[in-house]
Amino acid sequence: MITVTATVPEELPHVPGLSPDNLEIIRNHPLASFHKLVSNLCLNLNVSKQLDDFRALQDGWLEGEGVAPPTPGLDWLSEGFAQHFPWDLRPPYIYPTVAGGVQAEWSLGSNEVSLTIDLESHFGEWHELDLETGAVHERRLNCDLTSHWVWLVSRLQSLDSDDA
Amino acid sequence: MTQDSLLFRQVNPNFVREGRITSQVFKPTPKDGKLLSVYDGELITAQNSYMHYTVRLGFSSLGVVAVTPAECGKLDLRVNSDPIPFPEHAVIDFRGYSNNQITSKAKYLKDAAVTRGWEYTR
Repeated sequence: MITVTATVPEELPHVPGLSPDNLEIIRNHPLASFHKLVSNLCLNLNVSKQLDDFRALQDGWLEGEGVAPPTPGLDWLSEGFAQHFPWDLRPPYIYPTVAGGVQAEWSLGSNEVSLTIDLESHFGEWHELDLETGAVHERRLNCDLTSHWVWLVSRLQSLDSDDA
Repeated sequence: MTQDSLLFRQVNPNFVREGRITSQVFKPTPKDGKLLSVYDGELITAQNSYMHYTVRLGFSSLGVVAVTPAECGKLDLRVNSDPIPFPEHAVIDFRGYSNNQITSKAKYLKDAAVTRGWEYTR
């Protein structure tokens, strides 16, 4: 019998889709370190849940347009976030795109950030706009490359810290 | 239509996540030919635009947000009446801009609409 003692913070990061019941399960889990468990489960519950919502979409979902996101692509992206996206970083809001991809978005201070991901090619279009200055930062990312995930995470951390 | 008229835009349910709308709401799709359809608020209410869109046209909407011609003008976007499909129809003209430029303008319009708040929700 292994007992793990961990201090539960008063306030956990806001995680859309994370219910009090789920939090209770995480708090009481005896087999792993608290922070590691929270990091994985919080992310999975959030990003995976959002992506799962798109599995029921059918072609024509947007005014007769709108391609249904392919299931293998959703699986791939869910795994990508689980592997590369740190638990303490603000999770994205994710929406389907008319072309059958997904768009992850973050509002960080005055910055509106979007990553439009093609679920077939696995390339993503990064677009970052500072609403106050009009400055735009664009980059094409290969989401099969760890180095590009590292860049994405670093960029978000930088914007998030500016917002703090 | 004046510079302060409301231009109603329908929001597809998949474009809302926990109350937050995506900037894609203000981005024309391929079938739009860079002309984004809106309802002229001088000619129809937000609620009636929702009813027209969902009942008459048979499309899905969670609610209605709005921008103004003045806000479009700040982004060098022209707004024109286009009563051919139906009398209250107007378009925001994105022609002449690249995809990335359109993405930026859509984000500005979304910000203006979010600041204004929902004009109608079902």
